[in-house]
Amino acid sequence: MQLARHSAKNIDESVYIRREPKEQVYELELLQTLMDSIPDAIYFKDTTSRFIRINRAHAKRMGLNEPREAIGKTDFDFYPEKFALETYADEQNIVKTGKALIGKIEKIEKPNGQFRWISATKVPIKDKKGNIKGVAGISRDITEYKKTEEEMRIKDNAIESSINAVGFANLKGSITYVNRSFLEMWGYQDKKEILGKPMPSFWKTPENAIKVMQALMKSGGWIGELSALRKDGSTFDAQLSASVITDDHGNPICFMASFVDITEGKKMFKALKEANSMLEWLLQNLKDVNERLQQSNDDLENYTYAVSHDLKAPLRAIRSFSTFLMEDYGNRLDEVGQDYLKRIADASSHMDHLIEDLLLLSRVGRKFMKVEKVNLNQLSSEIEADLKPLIKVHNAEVVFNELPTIFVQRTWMKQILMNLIDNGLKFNKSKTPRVEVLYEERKKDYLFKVRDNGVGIERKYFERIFRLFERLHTEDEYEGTGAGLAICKRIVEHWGGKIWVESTPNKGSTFLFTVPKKGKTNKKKAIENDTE
Amino acid sequence: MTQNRTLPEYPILLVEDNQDDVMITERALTKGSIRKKLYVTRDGEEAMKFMRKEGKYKHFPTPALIILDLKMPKIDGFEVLGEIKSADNSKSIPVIIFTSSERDKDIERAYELGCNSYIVKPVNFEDFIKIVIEIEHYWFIISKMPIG
Repeated sequence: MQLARHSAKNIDESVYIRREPKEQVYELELLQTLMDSIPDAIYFKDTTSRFIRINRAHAKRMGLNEPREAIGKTDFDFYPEKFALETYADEQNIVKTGKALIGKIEKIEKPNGQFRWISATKVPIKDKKGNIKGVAGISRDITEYKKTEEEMRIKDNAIESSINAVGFANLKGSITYVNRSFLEMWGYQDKKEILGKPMPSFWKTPENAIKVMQALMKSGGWIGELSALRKDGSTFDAQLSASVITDDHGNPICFMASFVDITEGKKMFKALKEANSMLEWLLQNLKDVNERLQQSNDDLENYTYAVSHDLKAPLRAIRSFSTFLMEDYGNRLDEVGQDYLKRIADASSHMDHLIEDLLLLSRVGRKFMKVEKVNLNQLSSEIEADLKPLIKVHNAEVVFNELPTIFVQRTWMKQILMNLIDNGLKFNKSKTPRVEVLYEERKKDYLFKVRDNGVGIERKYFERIFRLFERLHTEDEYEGTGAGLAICKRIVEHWGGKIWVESTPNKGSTFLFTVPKKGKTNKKKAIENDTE
Repeated sequence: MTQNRTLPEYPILLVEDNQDDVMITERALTKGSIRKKLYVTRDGEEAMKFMRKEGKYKHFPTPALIILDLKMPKIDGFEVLGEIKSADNSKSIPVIIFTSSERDKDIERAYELGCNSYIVKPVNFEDFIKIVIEIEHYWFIISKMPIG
């Protein structure tokens, strides 16, 4: 009807739908309605590839308002030449051979560079006798699908070439996909060796892998470590991040996981941890040793202090009661008896000195004494005055050279110098005993020297004389407790200095000791105290 | 010992666990010139009873001076000192700590508890006498005290 009216003259009349009785018209209308309601492009062409009829979707694709505007025209009128040539060739081939073309993917490139993808299916139209009268075709725009496909392909490639091993498994736990890294990590050559196998069999302890799967189903995700089992039976530590993949409705479809071999990292971490704990252990040990040392030092001092005090009570009794005995019964004792009593008194007096020395020694470490600015020239005058009776008795000479002003505990410095000078005078058989005190200022400390012309000390005793209650002579020969040098040593060492002796027997000795400029005789503190 | 009937007799309480020291103190006190009577308790518990006039101490006098050792069995000197110095009827009685301890901590604590004097026992009896005489001289002659 309408179609016939607008048909071109040279159209093959045989395929043309001619004027027919009413029911035929009705069928034609049905056909057109069907065609127009389908979103794919539908067309009929004659044997020379001219359009006989197209649907609305096709018209729209070609930029036409009405389908009939296409009748008599060819693809050359609407499409780029390259594409039109291809379709023409295809269609002529169908006309010639009668073979249908199914689902051919075609690319339509527009001059502006845009393109669309088409899936085309073309079949020959035959008359009742089987003669080919044209081509019918349906083509679907699959551009969007192609785009998605391309994106999927990129994703696939990304997963496939990922450094992390990636694997998929179905809900039963059978492996459906693994990437190249998975193969390498697990030591396989071909994916076929893996696909379809149960996922738990790729782990050292399959039960654990099953637990992970169960946990996955519950929570939808799982991150952790598992010991993996390689093809050759060896194992490695894998860090895995697994998740359940769901459809749009949230129904689980499959499992997916990525794996990282953390054996090396773990080894390094372990080594680091070990090194660290080793260091900590060493540090702790050092600390412990230090604490123990400090503790035993403190203990010793406290012990010395306590013992000394406890010794004093019985000593007081001995001394007092021998005094009472002398007072009350002295006249009834003969000379021997009185001598015995005197010896008790002397012995207890000596013991008292010993205890006092012990107490003094323990006090060096125990009792805090303020560092002060001490002019040693003034101190030496004081010492000289204190020692005057002794100097007189020995007919001796004590020479103090010019001395510095230093920061030190005055009492202690005096104690050292007194002890050393006293020793120099005491252990001296010279007719003119002489003790000289001099010093040297050095970079980090002061070096003091106390030189005498006394009896001297044999080299083998150089160390021993500094020990507590160590004596080289009998008490008849020289008085004293034998604690003096030990006390000096204790004080000097408390300062962080050193004390030693240089000596030649029968010629004399020089006692040397250092007082650090910094250390326990801290300068700043001393100045603060000095200005108080 | 001078006996002077016009002067009062000062009761002194010595709290000392060491028998030797008790004897030494007693003897040293006889050297002094002041009339006094020495009462001795051998531990802190007895001292507390004495102060509270409990039991056998019912008719004993309130001491004018207390000489207190620190290291004692049962109740030690610190506790006794604390009790004496916190009770209204005894806090004004002078308490002299007489001990072997030279520890700073002990000295500090004793003064914190309110001792009137802290003296380290000398080893030498001569020194002992000197100190005891000083004590009586100071507390009975120089110092003025409330008479309770």
